[in-house]
Amino acid sequence: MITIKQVSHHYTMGKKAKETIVPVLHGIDLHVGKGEIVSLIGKSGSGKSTLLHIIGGFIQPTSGEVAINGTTITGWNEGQLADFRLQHIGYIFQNFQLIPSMTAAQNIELPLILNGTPKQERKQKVEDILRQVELEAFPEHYPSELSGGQQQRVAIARALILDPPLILADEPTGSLDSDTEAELLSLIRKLNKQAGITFLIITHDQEVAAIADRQLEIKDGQMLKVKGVMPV
Amino acid sequence: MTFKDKWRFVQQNMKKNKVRVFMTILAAAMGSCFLIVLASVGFGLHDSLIKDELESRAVTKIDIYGTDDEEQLGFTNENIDELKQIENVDAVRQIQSLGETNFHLDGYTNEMPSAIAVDFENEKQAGIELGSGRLPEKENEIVVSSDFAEFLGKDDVDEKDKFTEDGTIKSEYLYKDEVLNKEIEIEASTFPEDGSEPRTATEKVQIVGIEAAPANEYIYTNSVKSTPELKRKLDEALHVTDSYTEQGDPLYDQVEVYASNAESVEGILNSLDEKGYLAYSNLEELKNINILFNVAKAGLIIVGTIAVLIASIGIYNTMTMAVTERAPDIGIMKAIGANPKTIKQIFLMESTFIGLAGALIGTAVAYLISFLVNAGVPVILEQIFEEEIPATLQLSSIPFLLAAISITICLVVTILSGSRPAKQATNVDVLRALRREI
Ligand SMILES: Nc1ncnc2c1ncn2[C@@H]1O[C@H](COP(=O)(O)OP(=O)(O)OP(=O)(O)O)[C@@H](O)[C@H]1O
Ligand SMILES: [Mg+2]
Repeated sequence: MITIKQVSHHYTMGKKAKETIVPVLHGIDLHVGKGEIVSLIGKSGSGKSTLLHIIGGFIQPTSGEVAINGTTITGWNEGQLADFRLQHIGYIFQNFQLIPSMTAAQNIELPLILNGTPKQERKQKVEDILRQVELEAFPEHYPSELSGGQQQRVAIARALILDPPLILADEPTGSLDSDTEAELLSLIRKLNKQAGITFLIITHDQEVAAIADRQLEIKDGQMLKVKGVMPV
Repeated sequence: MTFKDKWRFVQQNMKKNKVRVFMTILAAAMGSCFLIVLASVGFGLHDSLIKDELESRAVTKIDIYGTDDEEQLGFTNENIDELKQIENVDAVRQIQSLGETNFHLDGYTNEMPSAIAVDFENEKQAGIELGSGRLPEKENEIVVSSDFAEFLGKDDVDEKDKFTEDGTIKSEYLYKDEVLNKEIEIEASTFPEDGSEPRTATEKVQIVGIEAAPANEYIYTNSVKSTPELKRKLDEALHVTDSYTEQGDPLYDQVEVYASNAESVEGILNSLDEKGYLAYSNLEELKNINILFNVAKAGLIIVGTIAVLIASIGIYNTMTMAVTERAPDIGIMKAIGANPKTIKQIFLMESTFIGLAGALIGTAVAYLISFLVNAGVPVILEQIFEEEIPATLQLSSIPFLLAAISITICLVVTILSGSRPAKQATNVDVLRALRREI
């Protein structure tokens, strides 16, 4: 599902002529198979988010190559990446990233609208997914009228609505209590089992790491070791 | 993303900032209204001063005033036939002057109107318009101009007493009755060059028709049109032979050629030149005046466009603010997978809507203002100058072309001014937007 070859990345900071280079990733190799749940851990500032952004196509790696679902996306322009992301990747952000002026249902509907799905079908799909994430009582609530866990579930529903084969999540449980977290984890497992969706999850959390088939760790911008169960 | 969904986004965005959108539309409307009203004056004056003329027979008429054969004193029937053969010639009007004539009616006289003999078939083709009566059918029938009666003054009145200051006959000495269908006496005179006694001849004729008043109210015409047969009869009585060839065929004093349309005038002038006729058409002159007016209209439109450009600064501002405000939302949408093109289109649609709404409202208001100006300004001018303004004068006119030009200018300008903000929207960096850095 994800194949990364020799990806390195550095950020360039400051103005021209006085640039400073912040090296983050060094020659990362990584393979995530179809239907796997993989967790990614590492110290703060180790470059986890950077790697996920590269996989999601938000930033271009300084060098190396990224392929998703057999398609090399490195070097694509923004439009191509956007279209690809819409069809193939559901992205769950650490701080939800919901549009505040839209209701829960409208936020979830957004990918369907971008996709050009007919209105009737959209309504049906949103209802279904709201039930799945147990938010059927809150479709008309604005993000500010929802709890953190509810907002996170809206974000997950939005990531799932187009049935992407791959979901990237950046600390999805970071702001959830343990009960809600357990619910979320069982949802992830269910989706993985039933729909065969591949997950790559950044986490600090042992509970999350536990449901993963594999655990990867980044240290000093390098892939450190592989722990846990091997892919089925 | 379907067009309908994009439009829904635009509506939602505009709803969030109703006042700002309204003000921007207002500015665009004022700009386009100013443009139209300003240029409409050019169109209005052009229309009322020139256009009638251009579309009338005046432009298709070519006066033939001679041939390059200096021996020939008039135009013969052969000449007329030759002229009729020229391509695109609609009608040829040949005219014989009746010379000096006076018309007597019940003790009233019209002294020396311009009296001519014409072929009324040709007159019909050339577009003669009658106010009342009919065209002559017999030789002793004539038509007179609409002002003919204004020149019928009482006989035996002292010349000094007869006229007002501006040269017209005082109303108390005017013929009061209707002249149509009256029998009138025509008195033709000749003053031989050999010094012999002047001779006169009279003939009773019937006024069977009165020509329609000319469009221009200021022009007085005192004229009579008679049949060629009457002319011959008078000439025979006067023993005048100037107007005939040795074979006895008529010689015409004046010939007018009518082109089938304004475009063919030039070609006809060329063939006339080849055939040795001296001709004049006022088309060229009118064309020049026309060009002048068109340049003036273009100038007014350009000045008006400046107003639209100023309004476009408002649109630029509004759209830039909208993009800045919505940067976080744009970032989220792009993160989900919104194509930059889609985002650009949404913003372009919004600025286009503002421009279109402004242009349409401005156009509607401009029509209203134009109507009020046309109705009000003549009244005011009449008050100030105490003079009547002719009804044909139109101060402001908005042809469809002007409205279309203005709407196009307004749209182009707003789309241009909205395109940079729209571009900015597509350039929003996803990660920075998500971190709320912009
Ligand atoms: N836009 C940027 N410009 C410059 N440096 C950056 C930028 N984004 C991240 N960095 C730097 O890159 C390094 C890796 O950041 P990254 O966000 O990937 O860490 P992380 O592993 O996700 O940390 P955390 O667990 O705290 O989220 C950090 O040292 C950070 O300062
Ligand atoms: Mg991070």
